[in-house]
Amino acid sequence: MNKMILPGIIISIIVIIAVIAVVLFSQPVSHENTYKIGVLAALTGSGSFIGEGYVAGLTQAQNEINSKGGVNGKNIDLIIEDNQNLASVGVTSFQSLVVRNPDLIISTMSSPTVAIAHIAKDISIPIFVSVVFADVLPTNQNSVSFFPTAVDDAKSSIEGMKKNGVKSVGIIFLNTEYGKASADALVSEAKTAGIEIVGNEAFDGVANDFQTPLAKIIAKKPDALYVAAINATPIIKEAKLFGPKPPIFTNLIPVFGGLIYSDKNTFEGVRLNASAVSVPGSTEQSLFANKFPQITAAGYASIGYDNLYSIKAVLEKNSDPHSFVQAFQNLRSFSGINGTYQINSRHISMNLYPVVFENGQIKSED
Amino acid sequence: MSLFLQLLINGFIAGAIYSLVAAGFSLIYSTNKFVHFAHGATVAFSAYMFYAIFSLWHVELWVSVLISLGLGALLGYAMNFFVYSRLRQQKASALIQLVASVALLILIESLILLFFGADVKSIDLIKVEKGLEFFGAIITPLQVLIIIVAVVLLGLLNFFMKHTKIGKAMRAVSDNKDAAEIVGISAKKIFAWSFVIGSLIAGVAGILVGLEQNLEPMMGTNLMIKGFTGAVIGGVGSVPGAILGAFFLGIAENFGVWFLPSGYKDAIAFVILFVFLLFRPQGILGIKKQGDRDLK
Repeated sequence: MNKMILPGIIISIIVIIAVIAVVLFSQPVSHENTYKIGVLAALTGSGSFIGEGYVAGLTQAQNEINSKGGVNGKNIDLIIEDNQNLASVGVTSFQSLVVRNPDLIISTMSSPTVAIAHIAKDISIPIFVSVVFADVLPTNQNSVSFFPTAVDDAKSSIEGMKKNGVKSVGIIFLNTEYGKASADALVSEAKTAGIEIVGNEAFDGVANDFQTPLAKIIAKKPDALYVAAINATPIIKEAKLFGPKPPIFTNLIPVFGGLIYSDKNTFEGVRLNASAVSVPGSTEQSLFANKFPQITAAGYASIGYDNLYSIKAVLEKNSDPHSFVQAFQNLRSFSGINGTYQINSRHISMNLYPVVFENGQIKSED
Repeated sequence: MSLFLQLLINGFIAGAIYSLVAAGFSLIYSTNKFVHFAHGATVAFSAYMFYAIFSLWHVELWVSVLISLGLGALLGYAMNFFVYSRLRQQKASALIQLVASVALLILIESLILLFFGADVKSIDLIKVEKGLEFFGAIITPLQVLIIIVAVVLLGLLNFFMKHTKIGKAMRAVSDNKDAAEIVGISAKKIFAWSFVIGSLIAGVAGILVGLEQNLEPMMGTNLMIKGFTGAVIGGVGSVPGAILGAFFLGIAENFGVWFLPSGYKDAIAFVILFVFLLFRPQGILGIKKQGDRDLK
């Protein structure tokens, strides 16, 4: 009999904890006073500098909106989960958000968002996609996106290449959903512009040594080298070992994420893409600097800020979150800190501008 | 640019780093008779300690190097003292010790992730500029230093193993622990020495990788896999074999992606590993032991 007591106590404790958990999680979340918005962002992992900037923009907008009475009299409540920029963690984080029954879920970073887009089809919660280059809208009809696409970014890079007389380019890219989307877009836009692709090398996320793929590309003597990575710093460093030529082009991440300021020497002379808030002397830059005096990840913070204000604009037109996607399309245009956006179908893009980083500062190539 | 020469140079540089990892690993394996996967964690730990001491606390370069190497050696000693020696006392099998080493690897890398974050870190010692041109190929002064350091250090290790009392004792324990103890060699002390020296060499590898490339928490695992592969190719249990195998791996990897996409680099390494395991499991310099049914 004594042998039965301890296991019995343990089992009883487990059952009690399980019952409490079920009761807690199954209670319907009250939406009377708040709009609950789930957020999946890379707060740790390789893209944490992106996620931190983005969430800083979101929370700034949240504080402003709530301090002015919220949306339709309701405050915005952000429930933030870390997806670590990994598909597997993204799925787990998404599922933990879903059980909390949010009105809307913002999903950032390509790999986790591509993973959850399939799963999210079966739930009625609209998905707001941002900071994603991969095209997930066809996968999930109950989703919208608000971020430059890989094509927008590639177009800006190609514009910069044309201004610099580039006739051929070699590409080195991270072998993930984001990197492939970026490389594919650049190949497509290059072909349209008559720029030849002379080399195309992929590297995986754990690679530390890029000399061999770079050597293969540079041996073909391209007019430019294009780098698509989450953190392009180590690749650009190694590319520069081969000399000042070919000139290096990369995408919006180092500007949006403020990487250029944390390693100015490496990014010296590199050509990148920037949004309005990063273009020196622009009205948008002044506005941004006033709101975010401490932030270097200007691009991502401004995107987070504009994302939440766009959500506010949609909910003010139609307070029912279940109709979010339709209401989003009916918005037509939206004005944010990055300027005025035109809304085409379920996607809001933004203008990007080719820039060069010189003497520790961004300079427009126009 | 001469692509052939560039790939050869890249292969030698990679081989130099792998050989440092493989030599330390092989030294520990040959003496302790189990696979010490946490050797990779020692590489990462030393690299991050150097980053912290030199880049964050701005301690002078050579002092930073010495302290980091000391800390790496201390980590190796501590792993042996607190974990492996206790397992040995309990007559744990090599498999149990291998499992413990994997647990240590994960633990230490997780601690590195916790304290330093997942962001890629770099040690900005050398200005980013064009490297030295050598018959159409590019090599930097740091890369030359890596090759020199690896060759000198491995030469010193060879001298140590052949001509010093401790080195000879290590070889004796490696050949036959019981016989070595009969003649008065303390196997316990030799195990400790093997971890200290092996971890010191791993620390050198970690610092060189940190200077040449960059730091991320999983760097130790990746290098350990390459070092282990090099050791198997060259002959597990043979330090010279491990060195040779590591250089062979570095060169084969880089030439292997000459005509294949660079993403296949790791796949090439494992294909080579499988080929050796299937057709020459004792490795290039390993010796087939009579009565060992696993070796053909």
